[in-house]
Amino acid sequence: MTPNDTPAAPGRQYDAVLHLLDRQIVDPDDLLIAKVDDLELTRRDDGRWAVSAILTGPGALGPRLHGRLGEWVGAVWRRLHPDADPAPGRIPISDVIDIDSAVTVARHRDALQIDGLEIWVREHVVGRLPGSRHAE
Amino acid sequence: MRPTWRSFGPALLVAGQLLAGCVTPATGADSYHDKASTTVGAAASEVATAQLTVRLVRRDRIQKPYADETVTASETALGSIGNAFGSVQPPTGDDRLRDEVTTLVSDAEDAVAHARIAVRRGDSRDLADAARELSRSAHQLAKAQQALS
Amino acid sequence: MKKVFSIALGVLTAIGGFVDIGDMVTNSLVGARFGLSLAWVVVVGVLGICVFAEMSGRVAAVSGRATFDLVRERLGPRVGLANLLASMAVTLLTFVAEIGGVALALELATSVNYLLWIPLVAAAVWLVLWRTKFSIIENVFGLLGLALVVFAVAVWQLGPDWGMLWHDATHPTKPGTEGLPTYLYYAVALFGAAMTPYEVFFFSSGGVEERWRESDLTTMRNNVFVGFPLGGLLSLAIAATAALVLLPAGIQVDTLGQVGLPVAVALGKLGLAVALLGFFAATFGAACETGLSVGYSIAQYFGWQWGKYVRPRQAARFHLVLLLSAVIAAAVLLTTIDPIKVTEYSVVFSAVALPLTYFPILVVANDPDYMGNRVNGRLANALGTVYLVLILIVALAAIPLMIATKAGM
Repeated sequence: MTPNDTPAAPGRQYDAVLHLLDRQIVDPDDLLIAKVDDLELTRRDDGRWAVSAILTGPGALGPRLHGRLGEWVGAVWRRLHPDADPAPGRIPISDVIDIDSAVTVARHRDALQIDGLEIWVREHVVGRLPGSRHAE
Repeated sequence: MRPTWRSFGPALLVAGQLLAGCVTPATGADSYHDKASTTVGAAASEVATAQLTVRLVRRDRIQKPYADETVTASETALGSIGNAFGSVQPPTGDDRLRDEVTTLVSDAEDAVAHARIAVRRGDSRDLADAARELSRSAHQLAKAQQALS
Repeated sequence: MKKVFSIALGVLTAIGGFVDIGDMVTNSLVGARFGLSLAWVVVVGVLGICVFAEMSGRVAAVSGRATFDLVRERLGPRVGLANLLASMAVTLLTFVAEIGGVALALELATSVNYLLWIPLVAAAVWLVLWRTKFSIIENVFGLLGLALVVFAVAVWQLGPDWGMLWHDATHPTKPGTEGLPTYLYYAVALFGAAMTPYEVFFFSSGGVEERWRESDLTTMRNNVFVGFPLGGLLSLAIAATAALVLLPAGIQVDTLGQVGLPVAVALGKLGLAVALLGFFAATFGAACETGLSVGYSIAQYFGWQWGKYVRPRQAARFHLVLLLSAVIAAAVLLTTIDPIKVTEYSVVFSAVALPLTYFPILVVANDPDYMGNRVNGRLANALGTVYLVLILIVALAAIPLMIATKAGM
């Protein structure tokens, strides 16, 4: 992973590996969304690679785990995903509005709907228990 | 696959330990003497626990449920200690040692059982009797410990 | 006035919340067998956890992220995963031990068999984690845990030869009757009990739960440097009572009931009742902390929403993990495995897992990207490095010693 590119703030250089990969993604309300499990790179016209999107979820993390463990993670994810040919969760890099100890994206978590497992667990398990809507 | 090994390592070790604990052949007289010594020490500990508890009950310094649980736990432990020692194959020539230790542990279990009954009843005479019996058992176990060390 | 109150609350909660089933059982067991000749291990362990708790608390206050959150980033997903699996395994084992401890305490109080208490305790712990506010959990069980001060009172009441106690503690020689491997094995166990991995995860995640900011650093440091050592003193008090009452009687500790007997000797029924309250509070509080820690670590690796600071619906996977942990813990204990044995193993495996937990903290606390100008100073790094070496030695020695001594026989 070599490219250095400027995702959001003009003029500030970010190292994709140091500042993006495996970092927590948060929404504008500071709700935790996911980790940057992988990055989507696209070749620009000038031949250089640019980070075009953040990828999340087991589909993105599996390959980075290498070896049999990664293959197994990927296989389980493909099996359980409702789509026939699933793609990993994707957030275009243009959605990123800030990078500090976390990566802040513009859209709210519920709008992103990037999280199959969370939604499933909420609907089928946690949401059914009394008191799940109450604040502390 | 180092990460996987690392995470299963402890589990395998625990499993290995547990299995090793199930079958314990005595290899040689020294090892058997060690086992006898450990058994006597463990039995003495349970008897001492029961003694202390009975003493506390007689001086009304302990709640009944607490005393009951503690003495019952000691009684159960003595049963396990006796079984564990009895299941070990003695080397030839050590049959007498086996009988002595087994008797000691069995007597201790009886004494603690009487203590448990006395504690549950709360009768001061029963407690006094139990205290005496425990004292006798403790004395015998102490002699055996000395002889085996 | 309000500021003084809140500082006092923080320190008191830290003292009362420091001791868990591992500390209680291990210290009593060691005191009954080795007297105070291993007291130095507790001192070393408590200092160690102070150093690393301050680091992980600082990480939470300055970066707004919990330490484990940042581990995957700095060590990569593969090493992070290994770290996660090992930490979760040990923390889950500790969780099982704590729930067992609560059930045992209730058995001692009521004579109702501990197996009958287990499902209730697991359900109660889960319910508290589901509905109760984080700060209430911390404060209530932290303050109730102060009941364990009764052990210090008991030491006083037993009227020991203080000179001799001090001499034993400051001249760590192994008793003649015990072998060196056994002495070292229990040193490892005591060290693992004092530096339990979940404490730092929990402390750091708790800092995020309670929205610490840089302005909270002083309060946090007070809690750590005053509260934790005093909590460690309670551990030593438990060891001392065992040394004064159980050791001369030849009693080896293998039940929770034996741990409390010296208090009954010194202070009678009232003291014992207070001790039972302390047992309950310490183990229930620790059960909540370890349960949460299991959830924190897995959620922070995968980036899931975690925490009690959001509605349960917002952190569905996190709460599912808490629920499953409670169910698993109850299931394990219902196999009638001895909770005290589980405790003894949990402290030794904690010792094995220590490097995995503490090394990342040192890395993250030195990272200016997260910490700005609050990175570790020279003292923190010096102490941190020394402890890391020590921790590594302990972790490598733990399993061989366990095998060599047949788990302390």
